[in-house]
Amino acid sequence: MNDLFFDTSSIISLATNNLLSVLEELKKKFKGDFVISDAVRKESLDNPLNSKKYKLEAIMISNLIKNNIFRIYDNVNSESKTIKLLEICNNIFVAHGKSIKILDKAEVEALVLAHLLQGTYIVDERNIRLLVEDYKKLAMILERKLDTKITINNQNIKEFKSEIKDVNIIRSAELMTIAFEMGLFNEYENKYVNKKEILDGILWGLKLRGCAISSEEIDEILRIERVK
Amino acid sequence: MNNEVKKEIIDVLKGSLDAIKKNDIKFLRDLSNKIINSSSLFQDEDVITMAVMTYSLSKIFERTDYRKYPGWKLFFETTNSSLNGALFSLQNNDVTNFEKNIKNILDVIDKLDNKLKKYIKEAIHDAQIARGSRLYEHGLSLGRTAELLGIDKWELTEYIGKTGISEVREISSISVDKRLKFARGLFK
Repeated sequence: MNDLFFDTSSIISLATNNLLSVLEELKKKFKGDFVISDAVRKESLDNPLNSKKYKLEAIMISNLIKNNIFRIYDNVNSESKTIKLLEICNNIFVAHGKSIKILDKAEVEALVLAHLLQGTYIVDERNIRLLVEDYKKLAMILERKLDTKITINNQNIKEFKSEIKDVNIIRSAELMTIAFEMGLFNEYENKYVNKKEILDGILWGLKLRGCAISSEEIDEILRIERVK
Repeated sequence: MNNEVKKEIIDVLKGSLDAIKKNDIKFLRDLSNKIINSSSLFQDEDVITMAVMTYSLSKIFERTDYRKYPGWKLFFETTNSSLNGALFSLQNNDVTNFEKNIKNILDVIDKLDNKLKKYIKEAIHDAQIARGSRLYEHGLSLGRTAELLGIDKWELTEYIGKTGISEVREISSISVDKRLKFARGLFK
């Protein structure tokens, strides 16, 4: 299967940058579905609908659901695996003999779905990406910032790795770079703004509204894209 | 409440009372920064409340113009007496009364005149988001931080984006080149 499973963090970065319409265009060029879990729906739609500050973004998201750009996956079969994995994740890093709870349920639920349905996980949040791809870096952050020795529960990290195998992750930054490569931002090019500025603007917009990407990584993307 | 947490909160309460007496805003903020480590490690509700409370107080006390409002005296006196009460309670292992005293500070806000009430509520809300960003910086996820502080993920995400947190060297796990190649393959 070739579906994209969105975490709330990526939806927030895209929505607050007014980039949700790009998802509609991307969906037309994509063979699978754009999926959100029930918990992600609550966080990205129900919660902001009840606020004033992000109500407009929630309305835009509701439109994507109505138009089947986002498909909601609410199969309860993932619940027990999510709970089990959350327990494992929150008992990997230990300080002063106590496990540090680093994740919440919604973050793990989307990862579990991506794994169960063999899709790709779209997540802008730092922790879950690092846990899947390079857990030692997360341990380094904890150790440096908390200024204390962090030990890793090897049994739990082994179990986590065996539960979550081969989940590929991309961020909103890579997704929008692909949209850029497809020419979905061409209409913005004019005598004031060239391609490089458009891509730079998109990537910095995403970074400044929550996508965990460094300025070095943004420069690297601009170099790869060879935009002028 | 474990002894390590209790000792840390007692230190913060003593420090806060001293800082308020001396009008030492910087020390109040330092106390909040100091307790943020324990907030991330123990994730104890009372420690997190103290981290937010001291940070909020530093923000409220630095605004000297708030002191002209009619409700200021009530707020100031309630804060002082409640912090004293919280300290006494905790020193006598009475966690229930400690929490009741801290809640008094929040409850008195509703009795203030409208303008001061609005300002102080905003200061506390902003302090929750600001302290949340520190928990995230210390290695907790966005969701876990929002859950612990009872704050909105959207607001926290936007706040974090404007900090330099994602500039740390450990943020990159696999190369952007590799990730982009994979992403490109998804649309073929």
